[in-house]
Amino acid sequence: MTERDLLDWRGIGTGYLLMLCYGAAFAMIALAPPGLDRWEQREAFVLGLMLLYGGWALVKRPARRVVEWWAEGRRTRHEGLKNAAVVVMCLLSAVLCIVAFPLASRFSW
Amino acid sequence: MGPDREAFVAYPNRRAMVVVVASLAPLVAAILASQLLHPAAPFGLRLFALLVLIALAIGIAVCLRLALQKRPVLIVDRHGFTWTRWSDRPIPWEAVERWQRKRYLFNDYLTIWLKDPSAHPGKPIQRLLGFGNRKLNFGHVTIATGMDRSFEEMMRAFSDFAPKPPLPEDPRLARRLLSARAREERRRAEGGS
Repeated sequence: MTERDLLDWRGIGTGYLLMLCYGAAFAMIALAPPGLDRWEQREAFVLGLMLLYGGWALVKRPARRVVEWWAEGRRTRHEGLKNAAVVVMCLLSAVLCIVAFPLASRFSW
Repeated sequence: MGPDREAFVAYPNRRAMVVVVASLAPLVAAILASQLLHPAAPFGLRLFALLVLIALAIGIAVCLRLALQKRPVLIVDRHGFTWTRWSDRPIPWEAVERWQRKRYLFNDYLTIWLKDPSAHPGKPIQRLLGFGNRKLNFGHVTIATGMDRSFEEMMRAFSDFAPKPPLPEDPRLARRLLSARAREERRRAEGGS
């Protein structure tokens, strides 16, 4: 894996991490609309985020090994895999954008 | 060694720009839906959300423009450097006072102080960012990543072409800096051979 690949995967990984955070926040709103007095809900959210980050930290090294094994020496495979990861991220992002509007109606200011 | 090597040319990293846009889009949608357009949102919060959305929209627009840009974003050669996000005009080395690598919030930046900044004005958004950067002790022009070449490659190009930063007045410190530069040169010569 070249230095360029590592940089690309780091950027893509950060993007997926953000998607996880958005997904967690949206799931929390879907399960229970947030109120300003719900401190325990915020604590649960922060704990959930920490668990997600921990999970990510555990998964990323094996994922890198799988990518290296599958695309070793094949530049087109490597580039194709990165492009596919970005396309999937764009789809996730579009879904989250659409879901944000009905979820916002559950907010109680 | 500088003048002999090829010019350093970097294009925007399109994939990274798409990732940034995809990462920001749900945040924009969430703020839009829950604060700006929500009928029960307080007025002050709506105003704040509007300001945040304007900043995010500018960021997304810049990323989209870079993702579609086909010309180089940075050229470094023996005459100077052209950072097209700052200006389409090249900045000659004679106009550079000094340059320095800086690290801020886990990111690397190359920041450049110009002898006469008014002679090389940047684009409006870059001027605005530059004003904020100078409050953080950065130079007039600051180059970040987001290119198809790595930060280290860009630093090597600046080391090769740009004038060396002046030595400190303290002779002991100056000697240490000179020996560090010599070590770096030797290391790169060994790596290149």
